[in-house]
Amino acid sequence: MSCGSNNCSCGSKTPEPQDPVKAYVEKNKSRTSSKLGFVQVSSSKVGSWFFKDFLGNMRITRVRVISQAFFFSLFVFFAVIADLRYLKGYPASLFLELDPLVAVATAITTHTVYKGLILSLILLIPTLLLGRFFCNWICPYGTLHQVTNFLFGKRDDLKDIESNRFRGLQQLKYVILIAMIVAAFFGSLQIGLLDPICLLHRSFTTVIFPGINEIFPDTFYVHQYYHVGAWFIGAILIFFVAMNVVIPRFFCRAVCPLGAFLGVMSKFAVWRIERDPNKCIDCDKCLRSCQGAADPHTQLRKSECFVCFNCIDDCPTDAISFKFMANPEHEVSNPPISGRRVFMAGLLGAGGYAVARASGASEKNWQKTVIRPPGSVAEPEFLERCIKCDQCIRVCPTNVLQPTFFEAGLEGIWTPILNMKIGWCELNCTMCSQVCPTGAIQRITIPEKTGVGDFAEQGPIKLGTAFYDRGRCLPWAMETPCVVCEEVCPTSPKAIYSREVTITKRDGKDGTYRRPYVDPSLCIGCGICEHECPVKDYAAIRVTAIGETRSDDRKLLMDGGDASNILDLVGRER
Amino acid sequence: MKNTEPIKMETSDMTRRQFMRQAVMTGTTLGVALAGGAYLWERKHFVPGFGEREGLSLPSFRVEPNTALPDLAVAHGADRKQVIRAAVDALGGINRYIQKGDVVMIKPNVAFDRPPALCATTHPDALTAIAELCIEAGAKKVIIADNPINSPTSCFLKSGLEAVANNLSLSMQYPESSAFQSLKMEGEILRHWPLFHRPFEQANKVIGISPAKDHNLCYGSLTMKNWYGLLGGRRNQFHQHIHSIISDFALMIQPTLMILDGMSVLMKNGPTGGRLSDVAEMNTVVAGDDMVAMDSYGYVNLLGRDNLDQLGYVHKAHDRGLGNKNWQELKLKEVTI
Amino acid sequence: MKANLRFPGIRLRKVAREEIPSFEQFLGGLILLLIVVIGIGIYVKGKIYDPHTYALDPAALESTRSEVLGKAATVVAEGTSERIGGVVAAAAGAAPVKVLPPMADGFNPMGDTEHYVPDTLFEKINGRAPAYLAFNFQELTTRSFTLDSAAGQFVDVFIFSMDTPKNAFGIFSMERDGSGATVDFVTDGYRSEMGFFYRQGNAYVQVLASDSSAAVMTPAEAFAKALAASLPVDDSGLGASLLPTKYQVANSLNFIQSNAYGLSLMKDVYEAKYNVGGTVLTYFAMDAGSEADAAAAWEEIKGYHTKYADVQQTGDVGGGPFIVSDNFGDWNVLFMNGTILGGVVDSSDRALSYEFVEAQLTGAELDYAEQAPSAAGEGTDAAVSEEGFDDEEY
Repeated sequence: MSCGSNNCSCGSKTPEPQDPVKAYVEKNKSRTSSKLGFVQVSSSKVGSWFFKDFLGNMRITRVRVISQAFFFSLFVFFAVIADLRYLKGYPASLFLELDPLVAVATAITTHTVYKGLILSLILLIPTLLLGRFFCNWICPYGTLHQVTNFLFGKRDDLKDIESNRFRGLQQLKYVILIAMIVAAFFGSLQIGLLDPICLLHRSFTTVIFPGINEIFPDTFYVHQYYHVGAWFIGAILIFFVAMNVVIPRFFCRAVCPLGAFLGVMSKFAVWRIERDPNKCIDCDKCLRSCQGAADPHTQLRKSECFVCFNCIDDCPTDAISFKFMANPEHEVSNPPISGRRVFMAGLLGAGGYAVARASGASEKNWQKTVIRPPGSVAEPEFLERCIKCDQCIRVCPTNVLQPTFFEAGLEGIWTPILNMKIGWCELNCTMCSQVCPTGAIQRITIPEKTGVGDFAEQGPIKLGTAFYDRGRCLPWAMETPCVVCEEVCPTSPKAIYSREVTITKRDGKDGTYRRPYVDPSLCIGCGICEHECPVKDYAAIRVTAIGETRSDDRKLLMDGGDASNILDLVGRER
Repeated sequence: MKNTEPIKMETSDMTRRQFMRQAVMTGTTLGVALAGGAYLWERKHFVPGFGEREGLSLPSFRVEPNTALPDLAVAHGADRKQVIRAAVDALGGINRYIQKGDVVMIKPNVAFDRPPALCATTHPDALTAIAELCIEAGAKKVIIADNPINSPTSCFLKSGLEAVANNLSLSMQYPESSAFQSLKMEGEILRHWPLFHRPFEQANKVIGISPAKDHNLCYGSLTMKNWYGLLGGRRNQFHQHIHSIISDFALMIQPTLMILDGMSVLMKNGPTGGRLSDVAEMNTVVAGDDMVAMDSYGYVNLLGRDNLDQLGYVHKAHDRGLGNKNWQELKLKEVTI
Repeated sequence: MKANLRFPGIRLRKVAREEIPSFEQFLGGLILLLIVVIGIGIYVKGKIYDPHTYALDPAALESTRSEVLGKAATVVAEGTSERIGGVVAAAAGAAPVKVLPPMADGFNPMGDTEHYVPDTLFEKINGRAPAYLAFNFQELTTRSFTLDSAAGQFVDVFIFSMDTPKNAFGIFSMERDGSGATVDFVTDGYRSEMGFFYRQGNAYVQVLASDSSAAVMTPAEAFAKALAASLPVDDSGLGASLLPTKYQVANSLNFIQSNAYGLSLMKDVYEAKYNVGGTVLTYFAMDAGSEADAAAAWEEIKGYHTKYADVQQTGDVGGGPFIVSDNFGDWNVLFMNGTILGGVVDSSDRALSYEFVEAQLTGAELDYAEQAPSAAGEGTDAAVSEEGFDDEEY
C-alpha cells in the first residue's frame, strides 16, 4: 500500500539537505501525480471537483471518512426507526449485535450467544487480522468524538502532536474492561455502562431524541416521551463529548471497554502500521492526527492503534505503511497494562460485584417497582443479559419502559422497568422483545405473551399483579362511581371485576356503587388500570412485581391443584 | 519536541520463525472465535417461566415387604425411649430396616424454636432412641437434617436436638442454600420445587420422626406433613392448597421407617402450641412405613378426632394409591409395656 | 494541487502525502462498494418481515386505544387523549362491518358502532353477560347518539340478537320492568321511565335515554319505533297462543326457559296474569312436546305438591288429571291435558282459580265484569310471583 518498498531511490544520491522534509519532497516531485489517467482528463468546470478532486484523490483516509459518515448515519437511522411505525424488518439493534464485547460478555455470563449476537464474528474476525479498525471506521460514538475534536479541537500542529502522544491514562480502559469481565464471570453484566454502542443508543433514546422533540415538537414522537433520570445519562454524554477538547478522543483512548477489548484482540493482527526507520526523519508529524495515540513515530502500540491511516498521510517521507506481517520487534504487542494492574482490576471487578450484590436488590430485597418488560428472563439472569442499551425503551409505543436508577440495585442501573404513571404495557405488543439484542427480553411472539392458541395451556406472561388501595379508590372510599379500571382491563375474561353495593351515604341517602376487585389468577400486570386510574398522583390501583411468571420465587399463586384458579381458567375459554 | 529518542530498529521483515508463530497464533484465535461462536450460538428464544424444567426425584427408601411381619406397630407405655424401641421391635426389630454400613438420614420435625415440652417439635428422647437403634444396627453414619420454619440454628438448639446430635456424634446438616436442588415430580400441585437434597447424596435409608400435632389449617400434622421440612423456596404458597401438597409428599418420598410420636400430643393451637395445657399425654408411639395408614390412625386415636373425612390429604393420598387410609386392614401389632 | 485538499466549503488540513498508489485507490473503491452493498442489504432486510410475529398489528393497538378511550372518557372526561401518546398513527382496517345509523331526526352518532359476540359480551355488560348467554345470545350491536334537541343528553341503543324469537322473548320478559307501559309499535314491548324495551323477531332491543324528560324520551321513542320497523317481524316458535287472551293483563306475559317454579322438567313455560273480576290470577301453560314428557313433568309436579303442599283434591276434567293444592294459603290448580300442562299458581281464591282452569279445559265462557284489580290482591300477587321467579331462575 505504501510506496516504501517501491523503486524510489533513497539515500545514496541525495545531497546534504538543510531541511530533510523539503529535500525529500523536492526529490520526489516527479512522482506527485495520480496514476489513474481518466482523472487527469476531465478538468472542465462541471464535475471537475467530483472526478478530479474527489474520486481522483480517493486516498484511504477519505474512504475512511465516507465509511464513518455512512455508519454514523446508519446508526442514527436505526435509532430513528426503532419505532412501531417504522421498524418493519430493519435490524434496529444491528450495531449492538455486531459489538463483540456484548457477545463475549454475555457468553461469559450466560454461556450462550443469543441469536443475532453471532454477527459479532463479522467484526471480531477482521479485528484479529487488521486490528482495531472498528474504532475509526465504524464506531458511531468514535465518529462523534472525532468530529467534536475536529470542530472544537486545538488546530495547532505542534499542540496536536503533543496531545496525541501516548499517555499512561490509556491503561484505564483495560482496568475497566477487566473489572467488568471479572464481574461478568460472577454473573453481573456491566459492560453496557460504558460500551460505546450501548452508551450512544441509551443517549439517543433518553436524551437526544426527547431533547430534540422538546425543542422541535412532533419530530420523533406523537407525544413527548419522558425518561426517568435522563438528566444523568445526558450529563455523562456531555462530559465524554466535551472531554475531547481537553484530551482528543478521551473516551476512546482512556475509557472505552470495547476499544480495550478490541485492543487485546489486536495482539495477533497480521497487518499493522509499520514505520520504516531508514526513511523516518523523526519529525513526529505522524502524531499530528493520530487518533489512537498509538506511537506510530516509534514502536507502534498495536492495542492502541485505530487504523485510521492518518499517520500515513501525514508522513512527509513515506516512511509509514500498513504492512503485512511486519517485524514483531518493531511493535508493542501487548496492551499497556502491567500484570499487577490486571490483578488490581480483577479485584475491583470481584469486589464491585460483591458490593453491588450486598444490598440484595436482585435477591431477597427485590423491589416491588422492578416490573420487567414481558418476556424478560428471571431477575438474576436478567442481570446476566441486560446491557442497558435501552433499545426496548426506545421502541416502547407507550413510553411505559423507563431506565432504572437504583431500583434494581447498583448492577441494574439503566435497565428497563415499567412505570405505569407514564404508560402501560400494551397487550398485543412485543416490540421490546423484538429489539433486545441479548435475550434479556426473549424474542417472544404475541401468542406467547398473551397465552392464546398453542400457548393457552401455559397461560399469559404476567409482569406483576394489581392491587387496590381502597383508601384512594373512588367507589371504595369516596361515594363516587368510577371503575375505569374494570373497563380498560384487557384480559379475557377481565381480571378486574366489580360488585354492586348499596351503602348509606354521608347525606343519609342510599347510593349504589360498583366496587372493583382484582382476580390475581387473571391479572397480567399490564398496568393499564393504574395508568388510567383517575387518582393520578398515586393511583388507587397499582401494579407491583409480585406474581411475575418469569421467576418461580416471585409467583403469587401456586399452579395446579383442584382448588386452583388457574385450572378454573382452563374451563373458562380464554 | 520529543520525549524520547527514537528507537533504532532493524529494517528487515520478520523471520520465517516469527512468521510461522504469528500465523499460528492468529489462526488459533480465529479458530477459537469461530468454534466458540458456533458452539455457544443460541438460535431459539424461550418463554421465561414456562416450559420443561430440569429436576431430580427421590428413589423409594422402603425395604422389601415382609408379609410375615406386621405392617404397623402401636406401642403404649410411659417411657418414650422404651416405647419407641418396643414399637420398632414389634415390627420385627431395627434390623428389618437398617443393615450394617447403611447411611441413615433421620428427619425430625424441628420446624419451630420451641422447647421440647411444648411438643411442637420432635422430642430429643425420640431422636436419641432412633439414633441409638441405628447405631446398634451398624449404621455407618447418621445424618440429621431439617429445614425449619424459624432460624435453623435456633431451632436445633432450642428443641434439644443439637445436644443429642453432639452426644451421639450424629452428622447435622443445616439447610444452606447450596444444599438445595431442583425437585421434579408429577404431584397434584408439587411439580418443581427446591429440595433439601444434600442429605440424600449420602443416605440410603431414611427415617422420619414426627410428633403428632394439631394443625390449624390441615387439622392434623402427623407423618406426611413431616416432609414439608425437606423443601425450600416459598413454602408459604403451600397453604393455598395444603391438602394437595401434603398428599404429594407421600409421592415425593417413601421413607424406610416412620415413627409417629404420640407420647405427648399437641391437641390444639397447633402447629406451634405454646401452652402446656394444649398438650395431652397419650403415651403411644406408632411405627411403620405406610404414612397414610399411620396418619389416619393417629388422627383418630392420638388426636382423638372423629371426623377423618375432614383430613383431606389422607383421602387424596389413598385415592392415588400412596397408602391405605383404612389402617384396620393392615397387619397391626399392638404392645403395651 | 491545493484543490486536491479541499471538499467544497470545508477546508481540511493539508496532509503531506500527495501521491496515492493505484492499489490504494482500488482498495478504496472496493470498500465503498462494500458500503453500498451493506446499505442495500439493510434496505432489503427492512422490507422483508413477517408483520404477524415481528411487528405488532397496529390495528389491534388502535382498536384497544379507541375502545379504552371511549370508555375512560365517561369518567375522566378530558385529558385522556394524552394517553394516545405515541401509540400509532391511526390505522385503517378493523372497521365494523355493520353500522347502526341514526334512525330518527336529530340523532348524531357519538362513536363507532360496537359489536360483541358471546366471547366478548362481558366486555360490554360484564357480570350481566351470563343471563344473556343462557338465552343463546348471538351478537350485540350497540351505539350511542347525541341529540340535537337536548344538548348534553344522549341515547344508547342496544340490539341483542338471540338465536330464536323465543329466547329473545325470554330475556326480554326476564328483565321486564313490571311498571312499564305497553307500547303499540311492537307486540312485546314497554316504555319505562328512561327507555324503551322490546322484542322484535329474535332481537331484544333496549333504547336507553340519559334522562326521563320528554325532550329525550320523545326522540328516543321515534328512534325505537323506526328501529322496530326496520327489524324483521318473526314470532315463530312463540307459544303465547297457549294462553287465553281474555282477561290477560297487558304487559304481563313471561317466558321461562327452564326450571320453572323450581321444577327441572318445567321448560319453555309461558305465564301471564289475568284480571278476573278484580282478582288477579297467574296462569301458566307449557307444551311438553310429547305425552311421555308431559306425563313425566306431571309426575314431578304431583310429587312436589304432595311433598311440599297439601293436596286437597284430585280428579279429572276434560280428559286430563288435575290437582288442587294448598301451599300455606296459596292455592294451586294444576292440570295435564295431552301434551299440555298448565294451571293457576299462587292464587288467593280457590274457587275462582278452579273455575278459571275448568273454563280453559272445557271451553266454557267466563263472564266477569271488567274491574280494576283489588289493590291488595294485586300487590301480594305480583310480589310473590316476581320474587319466586327471580329466586328460582337466577
